[in-house]
Amino acid sequence: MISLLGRGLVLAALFFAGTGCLAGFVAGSRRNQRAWEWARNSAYGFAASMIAANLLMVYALVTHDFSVSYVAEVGALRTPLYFTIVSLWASLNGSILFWGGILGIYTALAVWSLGDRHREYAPWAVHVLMGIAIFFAFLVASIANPFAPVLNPLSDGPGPNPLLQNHWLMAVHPPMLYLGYVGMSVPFSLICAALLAGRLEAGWMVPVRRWMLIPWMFLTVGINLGGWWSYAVLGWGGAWAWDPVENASFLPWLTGTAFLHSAMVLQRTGKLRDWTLVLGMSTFLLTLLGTFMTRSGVFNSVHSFTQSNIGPVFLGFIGVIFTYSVVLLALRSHKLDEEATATDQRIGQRTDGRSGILSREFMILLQNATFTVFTFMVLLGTTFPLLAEALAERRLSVGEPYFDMFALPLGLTLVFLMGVGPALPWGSQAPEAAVKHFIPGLVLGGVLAGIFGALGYTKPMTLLALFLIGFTLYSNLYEFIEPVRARMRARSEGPGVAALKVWSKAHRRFGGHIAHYGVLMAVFSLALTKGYRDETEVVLNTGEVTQFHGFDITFAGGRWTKEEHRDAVMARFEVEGVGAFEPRLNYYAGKMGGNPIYTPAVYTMPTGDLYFSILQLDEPSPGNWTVIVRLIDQPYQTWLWWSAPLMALGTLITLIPARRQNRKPEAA
Amino acid sequence: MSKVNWKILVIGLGVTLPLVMLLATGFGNDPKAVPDARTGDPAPHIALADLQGNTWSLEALSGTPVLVNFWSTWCGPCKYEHPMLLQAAEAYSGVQFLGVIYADEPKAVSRFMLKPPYKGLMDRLTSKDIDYPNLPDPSGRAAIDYGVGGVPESFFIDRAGQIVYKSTGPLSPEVARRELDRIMRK
Amino acid sequence: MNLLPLLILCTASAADPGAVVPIGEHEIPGTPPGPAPPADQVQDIAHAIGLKMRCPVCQGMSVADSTSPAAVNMQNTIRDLVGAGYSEEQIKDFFIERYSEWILLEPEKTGVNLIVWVAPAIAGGLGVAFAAATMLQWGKEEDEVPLPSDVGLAPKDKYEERLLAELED
Repeated sequence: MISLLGRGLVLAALFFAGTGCLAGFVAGSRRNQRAWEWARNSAYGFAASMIAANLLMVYALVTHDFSVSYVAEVGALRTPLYFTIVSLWASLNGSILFWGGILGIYTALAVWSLGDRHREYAPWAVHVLMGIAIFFAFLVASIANPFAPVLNPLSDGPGPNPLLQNHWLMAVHPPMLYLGYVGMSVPFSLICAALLAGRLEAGWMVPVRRWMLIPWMFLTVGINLGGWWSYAVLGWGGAWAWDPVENASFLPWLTGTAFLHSAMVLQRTGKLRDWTLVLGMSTFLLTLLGTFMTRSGVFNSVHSFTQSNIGPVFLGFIGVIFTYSVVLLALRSHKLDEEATATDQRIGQRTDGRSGILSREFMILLQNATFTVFTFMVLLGTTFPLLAEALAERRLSVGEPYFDMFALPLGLTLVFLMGVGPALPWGSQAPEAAVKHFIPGLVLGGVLAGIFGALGYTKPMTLLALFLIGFTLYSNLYEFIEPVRARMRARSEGPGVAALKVWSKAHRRFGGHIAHYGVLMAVFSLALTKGYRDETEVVLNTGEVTQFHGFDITFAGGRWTKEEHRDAVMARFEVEGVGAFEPRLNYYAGKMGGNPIYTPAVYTMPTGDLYFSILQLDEPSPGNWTVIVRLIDQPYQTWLWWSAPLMALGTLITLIPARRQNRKPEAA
Repeated sequence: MSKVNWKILVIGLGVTLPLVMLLATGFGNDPKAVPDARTGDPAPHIALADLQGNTWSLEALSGTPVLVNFWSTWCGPCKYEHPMLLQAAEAYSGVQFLGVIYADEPKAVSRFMLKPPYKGLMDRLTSKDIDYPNLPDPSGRAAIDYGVGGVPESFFIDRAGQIVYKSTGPLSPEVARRELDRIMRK
Repeated sequence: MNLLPLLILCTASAADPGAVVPIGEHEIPGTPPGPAPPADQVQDIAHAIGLKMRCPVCQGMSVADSTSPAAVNMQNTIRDLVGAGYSEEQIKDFFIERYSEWILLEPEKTGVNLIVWVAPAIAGGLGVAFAAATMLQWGKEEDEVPLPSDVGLAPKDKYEERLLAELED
């Protein structure tokens, strides 16, 4: 019954996507009111059907209805409820359904927020968005059908992959990434809408930027959570390994961040229009590429449990939509110029004259160039094994040492530009003024590097990173605080009132600054953990003590425990003056060939982490345990995790809608 | 109709189409497969003691065809192929079968071999005076020398001491028969 | 249905906690080692080399980082070889002979691999060229006749005025 209903809902979604795509096209090209309403309602219909299908699948999972093929694949009676719900995305078919559901949510929200405005663009946006929806609904309805009926259902199932049941983070990291990935469909559709409509006015850039910011925020958080999961769960003490699927999520983040900045240049000065549109479209296209890389089986990765045979179909879709995007932009780019001249509506009318080298737009240009080089290098490194095999039949690996080599200079360049850019005005500035501006920042950078150097962190790269962090921190703080002081002087207001007025009036800008502080936290953590991570491996018997980085650690033996879905053996380490930490090995009955999943234990302090990871645990005689444990000291590791909420906070502040009083009509 | 922006068209298609074609070449590859660097090389030196304490060395077996099988008791496919290997050892008594234990405890292997059907098949071999030793490889050096990337893996070594075939994954009877015939011949 | 275990290779991602992994033998037959490094440096040198070697049973992780038995064995072997005086080149060749160049996490700079080593320089150069070309383009655009509605803003004298005006984003 559920199978039938679910399949029906998915087919309904496919139907609505089809009519919505068609109606959107008609409404866009003919400016037809009825067609527009039809398109809009179809979009809502798609959303409702997909969301309902997802809810139905969750219901089937929770009630353990093994007559539904997906439940038979990942369900099990003994799996705790929390993980049962989460197994919606445990395996391919469910996760594509989940993709469709998130697409439905975004569709509904985007259509609702556009309302009846932007009538030249909105129908086209629905047309493109529904075109994407057709593909995913088609996948769920045919090749990746999770609702297929099982003829002779069993009374129990194998349960989801143990890696997914090992930590609660698995419930948060995938949805965040999906909200990021899937969400990129919306800015893509909005950009295509402008190209299809043959015009791009400043008013349309407002929703484009907003609908890029929202998924960008989720993508940032999702990537960070993935790093945290790797660190807290996998046991090797690292957060990022340049694994192909990690890189796949990083590529759209790079172009998306570049877009957020070039869009500012576009809106301010009218420059970089085509480039901004390319970045915006690429961000979505790279999410498709990333999905392909994760699921096709072409790349070896930690995420390999999601593999299936949708690879060729997906690649076909990628080929089609990549070509569509390029051709659309190539055909319409000059039309946008013509329209702007004809209607005297070119974007960025507030030109501040010439753009000198010492201008914010030039710094953003350099930053964009850096991001582009970064994107290209990550893509090349990830696909190079394929290239070498295709060209020369050589099998080789490209791993962390290679990526770190260029990520370091590119990352430091970005930090530096993040300090210079906000300090320069739009237009140009005289060199003397600029230098005066920068000197205090350079001093702060020197002080920061000096302090840490005195504390013993003397590696050149670490000191350079700290110096740049200090410089950029000053620069951003100055832009944060100085306007308040300027207003206090100009209007004779007190600090509290001035701050409130200034920050609420220009909240978009200051949200950006807060996001920058988040980035600095992350860079700070990386600079110290990369340079000063220290590890050792110790063999201990029950009762033996070892010293590590000033801690006295006693191995108090091991023990077994039984939980409802797994057995675990733990090693207990007592850290003098702090408490006990128990890294463990989790055994999931009948899965992973009987091999356990390691789970480390971490003692987190603001200045660093003490990390315990079991390499081996034996009980040679009853009550006497022997452990080989890896102890790692990671300075300032936790700052990396806290950078994500700060970046998200900055984004949320930027997203607060601007007040409409005394504004030019363009700022819709 | 406005004019076409050729720069965008050429650069855009020039980047995207080769990328898509490159990705397409990836289908059919198994990215997880560890490359085979050893087939055709002289078989690396093995000198290990079996569970009874007797030393087995590949040098001493020169002139005899050898099948080296890396396996462990926690590995499903290994257990799946093991009865077939024991039967093959009986049928191909001219080939010396060596089991190398990979990342496993010798006690576990001893316990394992006492279970049916393995015990029965081992007893048959013992009654015919055929040795099939299991050699613990505690440092993993033998596995490294053979370029082992997982278990089970089997190496067919001819009388001249060369590796003529490497099987990855559970050995099928057809492949086993074919390769055993090959190394018996020369 | 989960039939995977019957069809694929078992790759251990953990040890059965009954197996003990002692240190391995230290010799590369046919290759003479150099002088042995001081004992307190062996661990660090071996760790640095281990970071560049790929664990054969993991997904792209280095042998120094991974906790799987195969990786631990390989790292132990590296440590022994370092302690015996073998150089990084010799140790790399040792593993390449057994696993092919795939075992290295950084491709060797030969043949088609040069693409991946030269590309960063080319990409960087292109990036700079792009920025420069765009800068020149901006210079040209500014010389063109502006639209009637473009407001020609006189340069602001006071920084504060400019700041406050800028804040009207």
